[in-house]
Amino acid sequence: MSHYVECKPGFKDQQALIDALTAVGFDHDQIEVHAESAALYGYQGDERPQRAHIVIRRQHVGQAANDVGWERLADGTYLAWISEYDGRHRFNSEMQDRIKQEYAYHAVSSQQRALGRTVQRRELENGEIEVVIGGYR
Amino acid sequence: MIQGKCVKMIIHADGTCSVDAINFTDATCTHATQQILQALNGQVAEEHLKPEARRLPPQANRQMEGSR
Repeated sequence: MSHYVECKPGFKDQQALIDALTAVGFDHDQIEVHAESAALYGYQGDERPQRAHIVIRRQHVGQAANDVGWERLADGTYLAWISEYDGRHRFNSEMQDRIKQEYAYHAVSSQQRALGRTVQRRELENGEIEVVIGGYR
Repeated sequence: MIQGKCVKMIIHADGTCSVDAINFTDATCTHATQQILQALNGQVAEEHLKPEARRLPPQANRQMEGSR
């Protein structure tokens, strides 16, 4: 062993974020991707001040839910817009952690596969994901 | 059993990641982990350089010797 790092991922790769949302149960056609940020709407159809580039509309989130979105900021990172209500229901901390987990896997696996490396994934019993990257010379 | 050079990443349940370069014998281990950190675009919480990380890869060693 030679180098060990611990880090907290930040959303920056659009495709990895979409793949993560798919992995946690949303269909591709439920995930809107906008080049220009789009308005988010509340459960009563009221337009919210927040806007986002990746949007899941409220009908796909759950009953009485609001739109959920991720806004791309000037530095290229994505900021999640999740209402307090949705943060206590479908998008609770457990779900948000699962999205982070899947994002990390998809961001790293697509980068490493593009470099010609092998990527193996294994789900561990404690809820962690083990990823082994090989093919180094 | 892991054989050969590889990077093992554990994605914890809260989304944080531990990245460990295994069986590297020189400083290329740092390059391997930095690439992954770049993909994660993350804040580094903890980092340990092990002794091998201070060793230059063979080619770099040869170049350094040659320039003497």
